[in-house]
Amino acid sequence: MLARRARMAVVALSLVPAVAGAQDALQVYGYFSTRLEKVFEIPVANGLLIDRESPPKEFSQPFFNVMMQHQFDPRFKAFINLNGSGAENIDVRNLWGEWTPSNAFNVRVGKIYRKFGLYNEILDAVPTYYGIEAPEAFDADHLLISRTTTAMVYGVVRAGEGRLSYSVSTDNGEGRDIAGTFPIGADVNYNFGRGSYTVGLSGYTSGGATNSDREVGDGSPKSGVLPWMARDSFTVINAYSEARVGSFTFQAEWAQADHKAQRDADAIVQVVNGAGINAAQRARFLINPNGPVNASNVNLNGDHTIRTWYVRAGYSKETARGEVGPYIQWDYYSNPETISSKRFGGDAEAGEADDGAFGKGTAGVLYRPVPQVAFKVDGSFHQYKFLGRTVRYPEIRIDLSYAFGL
Amino acid sequence: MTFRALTRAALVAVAALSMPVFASSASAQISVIVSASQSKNLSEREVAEIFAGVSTTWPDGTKAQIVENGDAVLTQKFFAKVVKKPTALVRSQWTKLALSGQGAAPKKGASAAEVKELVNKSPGGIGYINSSDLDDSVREVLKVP
Repeated sequence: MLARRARMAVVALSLVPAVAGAQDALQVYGYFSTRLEKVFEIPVANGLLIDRESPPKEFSQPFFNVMMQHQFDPRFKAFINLNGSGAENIDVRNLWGEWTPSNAFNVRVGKIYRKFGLYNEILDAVPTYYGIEAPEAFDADHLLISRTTTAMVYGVVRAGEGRLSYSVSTDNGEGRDIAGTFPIGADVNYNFGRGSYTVGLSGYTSGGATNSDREVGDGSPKSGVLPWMARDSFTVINAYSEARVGSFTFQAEWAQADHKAQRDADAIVQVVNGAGINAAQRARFLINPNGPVNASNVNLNGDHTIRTWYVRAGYSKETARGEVGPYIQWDYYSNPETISSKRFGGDAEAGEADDGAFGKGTAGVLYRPVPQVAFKVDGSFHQYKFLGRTVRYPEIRIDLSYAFGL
Repeated sequence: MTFRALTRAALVAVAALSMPVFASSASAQISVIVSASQSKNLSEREVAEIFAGVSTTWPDGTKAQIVENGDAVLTQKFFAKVVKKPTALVRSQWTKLALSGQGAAPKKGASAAEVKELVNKSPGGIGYINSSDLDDSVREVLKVP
């Protein structure tokens, strides 16, 4: 699979110079990025006591995003977004074609980032936004929904002093078992004040009962369904707003996912036996937490609600030595059904908390000596309930990116 | 004439000679231009929305191709007067649209002649130049005082 993707990417890239010379409407650009992360003093349970551990720093290999966009006709366009850190690790993030008969009606087909909230479409544009980490709704360890869709209709119409945008999308569905599902995603937003203000609503329904795209033990799902669910019918609603006032940018977003789910008894037995769950999680999964760990003692009712929200603010100051942009953020995420083991499909943050909830405060600064280079440094503290007490631990991140072709 | 007086005279002369250069960008009118073959008009709000990255298309759906002028003083004045946003934020928005595939990557013309050439190459091309550089090769859709 990886080799095939790598070959496809190499062929696509090798065609670029020849085609670019012949057709001016082809644009090739992207960015390189590398990141250093270090977490300090994470609380770990030692019986009923809390010890602290500092895992080693994580210095990511430089990775790239190469985008190619071809406007081969005023009404037709194609786009590809390749991401990777080497020939063995290339991911086709986006690959779509678009037909634009009018502003009010556009059709996009392929592998597409769905329009959902302020960030889903722009998460790969790391050099351009305040902050380093994605909002919790799009944290790769606990996605609310899959980030991509297959067919999307969208458009924009003028309404009063502003512009009203909409999108509707559908695809095969979230999980391995998708027979009988008809998922629909939608987004509507109003933008006014010459782009200064945006308010919007996004939504998603799984369109029937599905399951996860991952088996228990195969890591974090790329969809909104946890791996130990036999079936899960869910909806997500998301409200968002953004204000760009002078040099300030303010953002706020809230989302809730309601899951009507049934757990898989055998999968839960694996989780309870192997994933190192805490007492609250054990009490959720088993009818009698002190009883035997077998299929007949599993509580099959997996209904749960996930909530997340954030507020973010950034400021842009142009100086003789480049742009300086301080920013502050507060993120909240709550998922009572998750566990801490990433290998079993859980989340190392929410899954550690007694109640599956945590908050994260971040302060940082973005520096662009030239428009193509973005250097970000920020620090966060994570806060949650652990063994009945409120605990905190800090984290620092440094991100450096260089955009080319722009 | 003393050395001090000579120095002062030289400084005054340099300043006087520099004035027209700075004044040409700082005080001249700006013309927003599109291809000469493009017959559609754009309102000031539509121009502002395209350059602010709010709209990636013309009102009829034609994909907009922004052409940035390499004159930094002119660009700053244009963004302040029309887009009403700091240059860094505007550029960041353009980059965001390009990296997410929502809009075309902006092109940059080092001179007015190059801006005009690039604007003419794309049906949705739109750029801005000093009004004194305007000629028949392009069409003006907005004049910014």
